[in-house]
Amino acid sequence: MSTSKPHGYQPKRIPSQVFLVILCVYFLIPLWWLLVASTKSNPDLFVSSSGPLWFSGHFSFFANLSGLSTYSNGIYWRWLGNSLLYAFVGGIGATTISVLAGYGFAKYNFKGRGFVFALVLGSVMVPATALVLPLFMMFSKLSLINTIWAVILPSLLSPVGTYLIRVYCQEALPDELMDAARVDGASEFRTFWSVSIPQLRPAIVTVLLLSVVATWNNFFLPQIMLSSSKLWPITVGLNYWLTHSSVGSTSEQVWNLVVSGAFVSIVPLIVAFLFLQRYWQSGLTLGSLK
Amino acid sequence: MKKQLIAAGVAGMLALSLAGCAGSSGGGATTNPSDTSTSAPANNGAACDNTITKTNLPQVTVWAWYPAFGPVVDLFNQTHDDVQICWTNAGQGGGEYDKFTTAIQAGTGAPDVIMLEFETLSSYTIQNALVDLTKYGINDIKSNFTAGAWKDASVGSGVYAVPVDGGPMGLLVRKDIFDKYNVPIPTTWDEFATAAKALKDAGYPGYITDWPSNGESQLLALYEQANAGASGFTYDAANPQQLGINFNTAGTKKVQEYWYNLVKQGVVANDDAGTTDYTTAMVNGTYASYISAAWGPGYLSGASGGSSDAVWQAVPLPQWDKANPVMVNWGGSSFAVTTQSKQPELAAKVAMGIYGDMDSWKIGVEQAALFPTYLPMLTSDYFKNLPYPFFNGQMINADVFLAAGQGYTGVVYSPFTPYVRSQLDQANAAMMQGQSDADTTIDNFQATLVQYAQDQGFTVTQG
Repeated sequence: MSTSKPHGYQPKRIPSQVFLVILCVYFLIPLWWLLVASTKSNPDLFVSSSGPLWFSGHFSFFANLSGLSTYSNGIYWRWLGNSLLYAFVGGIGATTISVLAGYGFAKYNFKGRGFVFALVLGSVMVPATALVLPLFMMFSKLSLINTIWAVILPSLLSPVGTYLIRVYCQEALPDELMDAARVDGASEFRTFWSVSIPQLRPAIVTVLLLSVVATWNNFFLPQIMLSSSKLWPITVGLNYWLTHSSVGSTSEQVWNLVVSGAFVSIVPLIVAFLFLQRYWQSGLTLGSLK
Repeated sequence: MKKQLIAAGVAGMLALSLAGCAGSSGGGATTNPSDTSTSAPANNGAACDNTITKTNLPQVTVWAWYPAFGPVVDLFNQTHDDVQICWTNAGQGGGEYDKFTTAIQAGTGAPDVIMLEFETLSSYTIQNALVDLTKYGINDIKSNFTAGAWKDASVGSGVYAVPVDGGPMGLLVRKDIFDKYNVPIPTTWDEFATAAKALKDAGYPGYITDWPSNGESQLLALYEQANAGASGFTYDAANPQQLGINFNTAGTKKVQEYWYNLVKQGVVANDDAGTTDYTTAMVNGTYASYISAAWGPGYLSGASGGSSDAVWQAVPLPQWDKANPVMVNWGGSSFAVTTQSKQPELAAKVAMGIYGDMDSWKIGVEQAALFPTYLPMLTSDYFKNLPYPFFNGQMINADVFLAAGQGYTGVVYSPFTPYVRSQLDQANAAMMQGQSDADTTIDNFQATLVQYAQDQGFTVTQG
C-alpha cells in the first residue's frame, strides 16, 4: 500500500489529474449554467452582457421562484409533488419487489428457476419505451389511463434491481449465516427480515436510488398515459412549458420558469443522493472486500 | 375467487386514485368528488382542470393547451345550463398529438372535443378520427368566419373543425434601425432586397432579417405568396387516396432563389428558428425585421424587456406584385370533434359555442393573444382600434393584420404535414451547405414528396 509514502508533489500523476479536472469541468458546466440561469429574468437570459456562464446585474432567483408559485396557479409545485409521489412509491415498490425476487432467486432452489431468471434478464434488454403502447391498451381496458397508477404500476418492476440483488445475495450473504439462523429456530421470514435484510442494506439503497432516479426521469410513459396536466410529473410539465415558450400562436415566453423549474427539480435528487450516500459508499467498499 | 380478488384490487386502486385527485385539487371547490365521477363521461378518467359547479349537467371533455383557456371555459360554463365543459390541458402541439394518436390506435382515451392546428386536420381525417361537422349544422354559422379559415378547417367538402384563430402575416420592423441608417421600409420584395443591401452598405452590423432553414410555417407561407396563395397540394377527404402535389412551380423556385441569393450575399442571416440564439438576435437588434404572424408581437414582448430603446412597428408583408397583393397565413387552430365521442352532437355544439360570442373572444384576444377568425370580433371597432403597447400604441390590426386576415383565402394541407415539414428542413439545410442550388432543391423536394406519397399508397397527380 502507498499509505507509508508522503503525499504531495508527484509528477507522474499530473497528466491524470489534469485529465480529471477537465472531465470535472466538462460535467459541471451544465450544472453551473443551470444555477446561473435560474437567477436571471426572461430578458436577461437572452440579452445579458455577462454571458450565459456568469450572473447578470439583476438577481431574479426569488422572482422566478414566486413565478413558479403563481404561474397557472402554481401548478409547478403540484408537478413536483407528483414526481415525488411517483418516484418514491415507484422506487420503494420496485425495491421491495426486487429484494423479494432477487433473494428468492439467490437463496432458494425451485423448479424453473433458471428459466424464470432468464426471462427477467431478457426483459432488461426490452426498452421500456417499446412497452408503452401495449401498456396503454391494457390500461385502457382496466380504465387506468390518466390515473396515477398508469405511471406507478409499470415502474414497480425493475429487472436490473432484481438482478443486482440476486448477485449481491450470492456474493455477500453466506448460506452459513442463514443456516445458523435456521438452526437457532428462526422461521424463513425471520431469517429474511432480521438476518438477511441488514446484510443487504447497501444493495437495497443502491437499488432504491437507481429506481427512484429512473422513475423521476421517466418521460415517455407519463407523457402518453397522463392527459390531465394535474397528474403530470415534473419532466412532462417542464417539457410542456418548453413547447409553450417556443414560437407559435398562444405561446408565452416562460423560459425563466423552465430554467428555474429545472433547477429546483434537481434539488430533491441531490438531497436524496447526499443523504443516502453513506449507505451506498459503505456498500461499495463492502462489496469490494468480499 | 381469484378473479374477484383482482377486480376488488383494481376497484380499490381506482377509488384511491380518484380520492387522491379530488383531495389535492382543493381551492375551495364545492364539487363533490363522487358527483363528478358519476356524471362524467366514461372516457374521463381524471378530474377536470377547471371546476364545474353545475354538476348535474352532461359534460363534454375538451383538450386545449394554453393557460388562458381557463377563463374561457369558466365563462362558457357560467352561461350554459344545458352542458358543461370539462377542460384538460393535455400538452401543446406534439405533446397533445402524441396522446391523441395513441388514443386513436388504442380505440379509446380521446376527448370529445380537441384543439388541433389546421395543418394536422387531414392527417386525422384519413384515420377516421374526426367527425364531419356538416351533419351537425356547422354550415349554418359559415358566415361567421373568414373565407380562409373556413377553407383551412375543411378537407374537401367536409368541414372537420370549428376555426378559432389564425396567423395572418406581416412584417415587424425595428423602425429605429431603418431610421438610423436612413433606409425606407420596404413594401415589395424588390424593395426588400434593395433595403437589405442598403442597410449593410450604410454600416448596419446585423441583417435585415433571418431566413431560417427550419422555419417551415414561415417558408411555406412565403412560397404560397408567390403561387397566388396555393399550397402545392390538392386533397379531399371524400377521395382520401388521391393527392395532388405541385410544389416545383415557377413561383416556389422564384422565392427559393430570392432568399438563397440574399443569404449568399450576406445580407440575410441563415440561423435556425426556435433556438435561443435566434430569440436573442430577434430582441437585441441583430435582425432589423421579423416576418411574423399576427401573434408574433405578443410572443416577442416576452423576451424583449432587455432592449428598451427598440422601436417596433408592424407593416404589411412585402408583395411580389403590389397591384395584386396575396395575403398569407402562418397557421392557426381549431376545435374538432373526435369519432370516439359518445355524444357527438353535444360535442359539436360545444365546439361551435366555445368561441361563439364576443365575451369569450375578448378573453382570447386580451389574455391568449389569439387572432380571431370569427368575423364579428375581427371586424369589430374594438378589435380594429386596439392599441398595442409593444408598438408604442400602434393599432396594428387596423394598419396591417385586419386586411391580411380577411384577404387570406385558405390553403389545402397534405395528409402528412409532419413529413412535409421535416423534408423541407432537410432540403433547405442541404441547399445552404452547397449540396444543391435553389432550383434543384425544389425539384428534389417535389420528387421526395411524390415518392413518399406513392409509397404510402396515394395516387399522385402532379402539375
